[in-house]
Amino acid sequence: MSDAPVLYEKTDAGVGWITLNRPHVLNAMNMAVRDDLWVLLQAVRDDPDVRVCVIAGNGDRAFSAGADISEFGTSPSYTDARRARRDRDLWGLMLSINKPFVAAIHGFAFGAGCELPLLCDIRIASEDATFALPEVTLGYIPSAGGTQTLPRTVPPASRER
Amino acid sequence: MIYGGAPIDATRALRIGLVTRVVPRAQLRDEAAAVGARLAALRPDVVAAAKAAMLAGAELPLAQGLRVEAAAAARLSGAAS
Repeated sequence: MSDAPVLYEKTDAGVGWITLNRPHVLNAMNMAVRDDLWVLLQAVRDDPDVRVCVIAGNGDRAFSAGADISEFGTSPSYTDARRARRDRDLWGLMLSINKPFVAAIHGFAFGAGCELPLLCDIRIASEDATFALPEVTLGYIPSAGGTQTLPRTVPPASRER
Repeated sequence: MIYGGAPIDATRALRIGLVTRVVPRAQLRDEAAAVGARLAALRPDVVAAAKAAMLAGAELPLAQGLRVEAAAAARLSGAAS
């Protein structure tokens, strides 16, 4: 199997599969993953043969444990990092695609690994899936849409933990 | 979930509406493929119109959202006739 950080395949049924493929780090999303997602989401958008997109994670343990924190602080500056995000709005791109997204979630779905499914239309979990947005307890806030998508998805009384 | 950060399991995720379905691990891929294939078999222009209306409506007051829906429905019925 390819060692690309994100895999892509199309089925005859018209489904494009985007598979996060860094199982050795619980499919943590680094810049390479973001780069690939940026290209692959446009492929999903522009390919008329792809009518639906499924997003999944490879390996036994995780859909995705979230942003790759080993890359935190490696940008030349905080403002450069912010600019990179603004100039290439991955999550906005997802929301601009009028095709259904299905998240197939197993194992850890933490941080961005929880927020990415929140941008999908349908979220299917396996029994071993666990979800968390730990950002605030770590001193920052969700930044893949979580502060906006979670309140739009889950009713207030359910958000307490 | 935002303030506490504590993980929740699949059962609770289902109960609070965070996920739409929970299946045994061995069935996850097949289940996603089946759901995907079912959606892919629908008319893509209709699916696109429904999704666009939902996304646009999420930003709007209800009355305006209903007008977005009405306009989309009219476009679709025009395309069908």
